[in-house]
Amino acid sequence: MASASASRGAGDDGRPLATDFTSLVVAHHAAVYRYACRLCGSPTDAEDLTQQTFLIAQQKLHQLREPERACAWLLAVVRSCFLKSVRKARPTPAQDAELNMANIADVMPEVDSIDREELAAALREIADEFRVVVLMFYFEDLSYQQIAEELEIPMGTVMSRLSRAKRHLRQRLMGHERGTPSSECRVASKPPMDRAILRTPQSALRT
Amino acid sequence: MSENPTIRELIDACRAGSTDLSLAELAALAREVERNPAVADELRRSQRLDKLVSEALHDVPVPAGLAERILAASESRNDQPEVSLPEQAEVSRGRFWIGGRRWLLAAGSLSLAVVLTVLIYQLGGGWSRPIAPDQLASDVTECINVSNATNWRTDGLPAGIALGSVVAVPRQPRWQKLPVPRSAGWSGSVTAVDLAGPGRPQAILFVVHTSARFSVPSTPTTTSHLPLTGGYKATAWQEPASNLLYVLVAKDRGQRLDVFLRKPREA
Repeated sequence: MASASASRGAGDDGRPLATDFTSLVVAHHAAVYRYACRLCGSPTDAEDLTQQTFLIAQQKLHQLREPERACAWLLAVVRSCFLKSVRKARPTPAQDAELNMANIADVMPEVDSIDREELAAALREIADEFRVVVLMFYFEDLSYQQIAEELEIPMGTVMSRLSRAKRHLRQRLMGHERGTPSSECRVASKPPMDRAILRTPQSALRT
Repeated sequence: MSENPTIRELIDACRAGSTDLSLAELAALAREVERNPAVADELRRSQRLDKLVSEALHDVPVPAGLAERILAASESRNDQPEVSLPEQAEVSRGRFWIGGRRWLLAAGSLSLAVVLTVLIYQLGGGWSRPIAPDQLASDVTECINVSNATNWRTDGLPAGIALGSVVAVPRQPRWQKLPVPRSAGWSGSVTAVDLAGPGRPQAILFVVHTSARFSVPSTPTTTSHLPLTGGYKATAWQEPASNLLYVLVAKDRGQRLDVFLRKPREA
């Protein structure tokens, strides 16, 4: 595996150190897999996406100038691969509908723990363009500005998608049934579920 | 950005433990947090939930042996033997062997196709398929890699490079000539101009003289749209009437591209 583990040192011309591929895999495969798993919603697809990510990383390793940013770089590659696969599978509809959540009345009670199964299910329910934004926020720890730059969409769109996706997660975690406003929800006066962000039946079948 | 983001959107955009509240777009939220305890409380609750959600999202069991499988796949990819010429010839003879008059016919058709292709190429002024942003990003990365910290010159920009109407140029700009990357599918010349000056986060404008066409806007935009890795921000544009391609690269994610552009267009 000569080329897989080959590394470059710092050159006299000040070029940055490159990263050893084997070390890259060992150090970051778990983070890459976790992100892939949340993006795809399926362990099998996640492993395929992880493999694909590292194959691309191996080819483009020379582009990684700052080894300390290797994890962020790999997460960006995962995201890019995922988005390419989604775009190939079906056109992504624009989801910039008017907001229907104008005030702070959408409050939540104090929370000490959350149901992880419910969270995973809620995440799988939402459309790809919303899920990617919310995962970039939680996984890549990017600001809404950085998300806008990475996805090349306006900041307002990012804010809207992020807020609507987070609202969906909150509602699912606090008692709404799948995709339906629950009459038994624990928090009174909740606004209705934002159906526009839910995945279409066709897209739900894909994974 | 939307005209009037709701307070809920602003709360949801604010990351726990970050300096997001100091961003201009979240100034309204910062003011509300200062004067309205209910908003401050909601922000605190929201960020607490964010923390729990983030922890839960990261809690995914990793399959055993995944790293080994990735490395094995990488190794098998590297170890794939190249097909030797005799084997290739054998395959050709077996599946696609043609002979006698059919061979002459095929050779004649091939020659005709080559002549027609050359003719169309010359009449059409060469293939003019624009170069994709991905390829340009890769070429720019190569340019960044070969730029040398000690090669900067300050003796006035080379003839033919007038940047005053394009970008904000420092009084005594540093510049250096760079070779066109070997892997680039285009020819021309590249000049790198440091717009930030020594001791500051670098912002480099690559001025490329080339007849090749690139899939980039014709005017500068403030959105970083060139897919460079490594945390760089980059925007590129090509003036349709000239053979000049500009690529502005900011080396620090916190830098704003519009600071360097004369008349940026909001994308």
